[in-house]
Amino acid sequence: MVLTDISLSQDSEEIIYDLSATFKSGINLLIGPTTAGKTTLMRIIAGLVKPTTGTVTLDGVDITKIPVQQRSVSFVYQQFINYPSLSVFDNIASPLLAAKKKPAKEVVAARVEEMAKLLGLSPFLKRKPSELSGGQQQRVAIARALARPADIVLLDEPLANLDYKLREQLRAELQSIFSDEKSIVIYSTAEPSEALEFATDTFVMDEGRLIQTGKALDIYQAPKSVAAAIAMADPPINLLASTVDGKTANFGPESFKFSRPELSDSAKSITMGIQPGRITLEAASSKSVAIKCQVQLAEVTGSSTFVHVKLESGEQIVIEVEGTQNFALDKKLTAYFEPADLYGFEPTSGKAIFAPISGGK
Amino acid sequence: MDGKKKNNRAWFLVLPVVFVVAFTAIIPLMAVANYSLQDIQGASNRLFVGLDFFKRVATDPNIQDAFTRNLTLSAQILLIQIPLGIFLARLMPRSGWKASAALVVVAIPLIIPWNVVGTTWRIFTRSDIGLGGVLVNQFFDYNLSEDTTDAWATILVMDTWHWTPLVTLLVYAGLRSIPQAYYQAAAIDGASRMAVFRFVELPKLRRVLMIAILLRFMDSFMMYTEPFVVTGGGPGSSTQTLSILLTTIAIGQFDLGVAGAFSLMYFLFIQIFSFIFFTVLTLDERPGATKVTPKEKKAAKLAKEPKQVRSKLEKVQK
Amino acid sequence: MAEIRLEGVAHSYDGGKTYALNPITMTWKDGKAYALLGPSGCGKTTLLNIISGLLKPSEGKVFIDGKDVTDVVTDDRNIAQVFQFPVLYDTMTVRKNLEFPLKNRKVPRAKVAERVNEIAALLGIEKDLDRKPSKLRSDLQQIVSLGRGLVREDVSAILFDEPLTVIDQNFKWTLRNRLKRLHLATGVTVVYVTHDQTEALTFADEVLVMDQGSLVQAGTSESLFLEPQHEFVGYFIGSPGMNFLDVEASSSVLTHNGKPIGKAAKAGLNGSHRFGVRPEFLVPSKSGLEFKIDRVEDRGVFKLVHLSKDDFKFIAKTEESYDAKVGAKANFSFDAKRAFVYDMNKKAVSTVSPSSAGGN
Ligand SMILES: Nc1ncnc2c1ncn2[C@@H]1O[C@H](COP(=O)(O)OP(=O)(O)OP(=O)(O)O)[C@@H](O)[C@H]1O
Ligand SMILES: [Mg+2]
Repeated sequence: MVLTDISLSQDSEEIIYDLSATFKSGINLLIGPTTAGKTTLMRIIAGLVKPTTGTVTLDGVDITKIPVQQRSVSFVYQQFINYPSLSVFDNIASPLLAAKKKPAKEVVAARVEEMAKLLGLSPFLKRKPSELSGGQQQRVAIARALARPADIVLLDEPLANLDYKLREQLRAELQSIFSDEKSIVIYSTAEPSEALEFATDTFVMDEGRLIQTGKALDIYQAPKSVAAAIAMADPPINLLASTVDGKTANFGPESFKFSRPELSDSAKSITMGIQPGRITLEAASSKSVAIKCQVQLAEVTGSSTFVHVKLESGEQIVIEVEGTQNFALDKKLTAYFEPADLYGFEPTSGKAIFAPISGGK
Repeated sequence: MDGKKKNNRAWFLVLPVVFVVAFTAIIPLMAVANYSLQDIQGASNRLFVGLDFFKRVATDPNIQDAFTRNLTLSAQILLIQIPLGIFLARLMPRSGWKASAALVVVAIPLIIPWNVVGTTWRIFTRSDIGLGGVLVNQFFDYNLSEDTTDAWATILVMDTWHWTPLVTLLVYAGLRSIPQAYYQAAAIDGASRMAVFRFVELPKLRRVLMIAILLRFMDSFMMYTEPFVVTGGGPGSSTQTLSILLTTIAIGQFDLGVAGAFSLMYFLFIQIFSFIFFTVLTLDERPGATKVTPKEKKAAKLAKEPKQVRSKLEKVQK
Repeated sequence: MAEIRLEGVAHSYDGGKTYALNPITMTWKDGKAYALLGPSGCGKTTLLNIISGLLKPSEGKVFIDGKDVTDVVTDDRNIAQVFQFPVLYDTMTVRKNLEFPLKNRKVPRAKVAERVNEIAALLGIEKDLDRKPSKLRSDLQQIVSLGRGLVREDVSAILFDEPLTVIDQNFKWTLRNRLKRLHLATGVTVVYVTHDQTEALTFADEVLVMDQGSLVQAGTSESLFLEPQHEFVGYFIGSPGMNFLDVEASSSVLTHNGKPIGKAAKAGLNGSHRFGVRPEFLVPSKSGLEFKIDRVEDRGVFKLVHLSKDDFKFIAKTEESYDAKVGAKANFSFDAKRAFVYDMNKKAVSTVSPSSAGGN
């Protein structure tokens, strides 16, 4: 499926800007913050909204003007909707029964049960959606959208309200369902970890623009812009204003030796970035740069701890340390990082100047 | 939605209705229009009189009186039945066998035919032998064939008994569709029963109420059978609705020209009223709604600006 | 501020056939932040609704500050609750929505305005105050919903039901941070329901893990991670979850298919058990069990190494620098204090030290 120069404006405001992309069959990942226009783009692909300009072609056929009903699409909304008066079974069966050629009763039942099993809903088939927990309701909506095979499957942050383990399990299931089918799946998410796990073609969107495409890990390691770096980083990447002159640079109040072929000799202000996981509490090599800081808050995730610290210059950064560690508030720390792990961006345009050497490893 | 193309085959399904409506409404309406513009004395003897009949209708004091009277009646009916309907609907149980039982009880008046309602009430309200009439007579002097107030009140009570259930059922359906979460949130926020009604239920009932008001207005403005049977429009012309008067003119006096013009104006009035009512109430549901206050607009604009610009804009605006 | 006590509280939605919540007796101490963590459908919302009074428990009693409130209506319990999905009054502007809980309780006008502005600033929605909520994005709607829960100052407790699920990843960080600070500043009792372990572990003083209507372990985030006392905790907390393996114990020596796995610290352990070790504590070593490397997932800052041996599979979480070659053999060992053996009721009975035999 190819999108060419798609743009959309509503109430004289542009929501999608000249967007072109090619989606292959299999899972395509759409990542970006909530304001990025992911949902709008999916609505255009589904045919629910007509783009102001541009075309959507599927296997070379222009389908821009074809109405939703005649496209073979299924759509899981971020805000899920179920039929409140139908049982869970009937909810899941509804898209099958709405098809032109109604399948036999047994076929429907088999498919519904298969979907219910996949989503852990088997015990609840007779209940009404209002008698389910929040997460179970969401799963009914997902099951419904997946029940009918379609050429284009649009999943708009489908797992957002589900628990971690179920999400892990469903991600694996989704991957295996769609690996052998011919459908084009477009999966939107705001979570970088999801993109890294799927490890498939990833499209980064920001404020209505497609800003980078490629494999998730490549984008993470070499983002083309600040926006792409932010979209792909969880916890959020640390960004600080810095001045470089080809030989030295500063990070907060600390200055250190720094040269990259991308930088000329003249002094220049840039935005420096570093992943929280690349800052450590012990010096790793003789090249390590030390930064003094004070603990603001420590967040524990179990396998790692996120320490929010304030630099002497007043800026705040986050450090990710392995394991569970306790940090007293206002405690003074010295943290270290390797200059090779730094990202550099143009301060105004946000364009990338340099990425970590060997992907920040 | 703009991307939606119509599926034209669906129109075939409407054909039977179009056919029926053509015979029951459109063709008679054409005939009425025909009568209203010509003075027809016989099959070959007709005279085009233009808008003469319309002028006569507009200036006829009887029709003017009936118009005001009917409008008053409709207004009173709406003022009584809508709040009463909502009140009853809120009292009804929402689930279990009690809900089903309540539904059946409430629906009974709706399934009784008009003329039966009229006849029943006529007997019921007789001050000599009617159960209701005799009962009321115990407390004050009641005679609907002599006292205009009694007659008027009887019509009101009867219509309220007959049609409030419609409002109740509509509102009940509307109430049932409100998700439980809204009531829970209101309970947490410490909202009083009144506040729950005002801020949770009323907004969600808006569309249902709109339909209820429209239906009740149209019905009451065209009310015929019940007052005809119970009071015959009297005493005097005190309960004479527009429909009753129209019938008198058309069949009693056989004044088809005036009656035709009258019918058309009657029809147009109801159409226009309904149209205006509907348009006004759905105004802010349309895309590009106009009812946004300037303050809201500004806030919306500010919130939509890209982040970088946003902070700058705020400063400038201060 | 208040202490909430549940005594034998249980709930069934179908008149006693099945229980969504099994009997729970516990105390939520004044001023502490609790997280209720568990998978979808385990009964979290049910428990919250019982505390706030939206649901009357089928069994048991609820006490607030020693007073039996089981039959007291929500309004009189003075508890704020934020729901799982945004619930907003459509006809009111955002500001009116935030004012609503205060106005209902007759808070003086000046105070109302002050609180609303404070909360709006905390949540970053000052610009949206005069808009209608229906015109906002769904994440902002949820934030407004959150604001309505936070706006009252005098509450006994605040209950959050998965308040941040629909919120943007980056903003979630900021919000979590602000909520934590708010809690530190006000000292109100907080119960925070979530299925997100990071959120739970970060936010709370004590995390209660629930599964299928029962509390399975309560503790600090560290203890849940380092010493899972129940198999479910090992599985649910941590990503990926704990590696498990069926083992036979004979005088505390654990074997799988006759091959030694480790030795339980507790003496005299016999019969069928399960062995569990987290991927974080399965570390490359010279000795230890020998595995084949099936697959390597590079997650940017760390690697997940999928291992197999005979008829079972383990996952190890290693440093980004670990040089893993798919198809190669590698030895992994585990930390003696961080591996556990569980009985058939899924309860931990002992720690396990690696067997010196090297596993072959
Ligand atoms: N009104 C109801 N009638 C019948 N069963 C219900 C009702 N509400 C919830 N349940 C059932 O009770 C169990 C617990 O539900 P609860 O809403 O407490 O789960 P939860 O932990 O909040 O899950 P989630 O994270 O998915 O919201 C679920 O299995 C659910 O199906
Ligand atoms: Mg829930």
